[in-house]
Amino acid sequence: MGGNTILDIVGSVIVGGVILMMAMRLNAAAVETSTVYHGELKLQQNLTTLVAIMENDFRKIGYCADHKKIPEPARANLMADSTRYKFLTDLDSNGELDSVFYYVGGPSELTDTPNPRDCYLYRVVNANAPEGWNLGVTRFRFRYFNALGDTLTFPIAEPREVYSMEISVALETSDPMDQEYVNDPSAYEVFWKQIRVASRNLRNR
Amino acid sequence: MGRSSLYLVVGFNLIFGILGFNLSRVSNEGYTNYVTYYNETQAHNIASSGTNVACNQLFQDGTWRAGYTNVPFAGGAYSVRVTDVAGQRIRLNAIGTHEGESAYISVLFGPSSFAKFAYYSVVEGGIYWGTGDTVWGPWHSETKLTVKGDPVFYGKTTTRIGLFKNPPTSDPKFYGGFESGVGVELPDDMDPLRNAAQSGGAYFHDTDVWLTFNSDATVSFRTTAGGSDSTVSLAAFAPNGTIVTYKGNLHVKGIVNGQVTIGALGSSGGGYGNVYLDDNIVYSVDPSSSSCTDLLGSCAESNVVITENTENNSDIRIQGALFCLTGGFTAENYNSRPLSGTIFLTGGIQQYQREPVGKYAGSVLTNGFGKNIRYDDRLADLSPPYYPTTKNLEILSWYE
Repeated sequence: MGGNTILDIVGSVIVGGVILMMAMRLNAAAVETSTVYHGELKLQQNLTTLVAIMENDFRKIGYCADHKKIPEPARANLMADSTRYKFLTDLDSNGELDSVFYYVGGPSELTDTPNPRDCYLYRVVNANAPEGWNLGVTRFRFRYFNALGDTLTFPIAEPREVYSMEISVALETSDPMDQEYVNDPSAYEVFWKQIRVASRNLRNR
Repeated sequence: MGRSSLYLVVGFNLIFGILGFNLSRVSNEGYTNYVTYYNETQAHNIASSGTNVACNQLFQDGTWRAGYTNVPFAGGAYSVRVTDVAGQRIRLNAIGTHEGESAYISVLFGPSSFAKFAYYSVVEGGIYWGTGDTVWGPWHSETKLTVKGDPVFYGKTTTRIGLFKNPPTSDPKFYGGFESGVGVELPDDMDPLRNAAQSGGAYFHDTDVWLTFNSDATVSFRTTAGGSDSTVSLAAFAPNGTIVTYKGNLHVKGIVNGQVTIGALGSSGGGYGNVYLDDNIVYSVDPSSSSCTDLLGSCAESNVVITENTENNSDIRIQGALFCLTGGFTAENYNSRPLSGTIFLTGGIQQYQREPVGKYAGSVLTNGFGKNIRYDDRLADLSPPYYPTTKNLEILSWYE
């Protein structure tokens, strides 16, 4: 009987140890999976939120509740660059013109995240102080086209020539597992592109 | 040991059950996020489609107010309401719905006056627009736009037939946009202007009329070439701002203080229906000033003609919108009169056919006028009283 007890103890220790090791490995895998899932969900939510705001803004290029404030809709284009775009609109439909300015800051501005490529995205309304959005934006590009569909080359001296545009946005997780930035960022990247953004108001009159 | 193992197994199941539930919830949230965005986008697309359908209906029939109610489309539905608002404008409101999400679009339409065009023609006559030509304001032709080189158009440019580049390397700049396939027909007649003058303006018939506008808001007029003028206030002379001679010609000059449309109506051809500009005709206030409220519309059933006389042989200044139903804007004896300087026009020209105002030998002007034409930005939204309107509605604003 004493021998059986010792055998039970030894067996329990061995089995328990094996199970414990399995549990730790499972725990690590579960944590990794959970982190990845939450990261991807956050990335997706960031993207849909950003796209919804941008679509809402860009559809209103050249719009004003008092249409006489913009007699020439093309004048709504104030500045057009590869990473910056500024335009006139009437965000709250009160008949007063508002300016909206989209641009990205440099990667060196955003030092709080391990991702070396992400940067602040700015949306400045009128003369308000710029407030950066930390959404994990790593790419924010514009391409512009004139009324004949030809691509405009930079620098664009006359923003009024912009008739439609293509917008590309890429977001990356700001803090992925194992900080895998070097090899393949696509594993932690979501990409959105709208091939042709043409505000209806630019075609008015 | 057996009991401990059981506890272990139960414990693992519980922990990993919770973990699995959490992962499943995250996964569901991601899918929900995607579906919500999809439904919102679809709702917007449906609203946009409904708006386009309703706009087409309204363009074809400006009196259409029936609207649409819950029309099934692309898995959702759209509804459109059309109402009249102040200033002869029309508001179109559309709602698109899809799986509980909805999107809203509102479009404002207004009547379109020919005065808004910096340049309008039905017949271009083989004339092309080349390097150095610059047009401010909307441009339209019922034929095609022919370009040679790099002309610049700052206003919206539309044609019925299209754009022809000759040579193909031509690079016109359209800073206000370009659209082909747009038809804007001239009115069939000038009856609205004539009726307005008969009912509330100054109306003459079977006679030429000489008008001199004065800066004190009066107008001097006579009906014979050598007679004496009678001077009256413009408001009393033409209460609704219209002055018309039917089957006669108008001879005008002076300083316009007020808003007035003049018309020489009744026929095509050289007999009558012409407006003759005998000297400068300008506003009492510079039209580039924000305080300027003066507007002049000069409408001819035939031509608007710069008279050949001493006053016009050294530049001529014209401020206002010029309209020619069957002819064009030209200079009397353009190909034989001496060099007469430059036409400084601030306003717009709408004519059936582009007519010459000078004669060239190669690129050198030998007779008549050169041109310096600037658009009066106010005409984008304002028009002289009873100025001819297009048959179309135009979109003033689009909210989505």
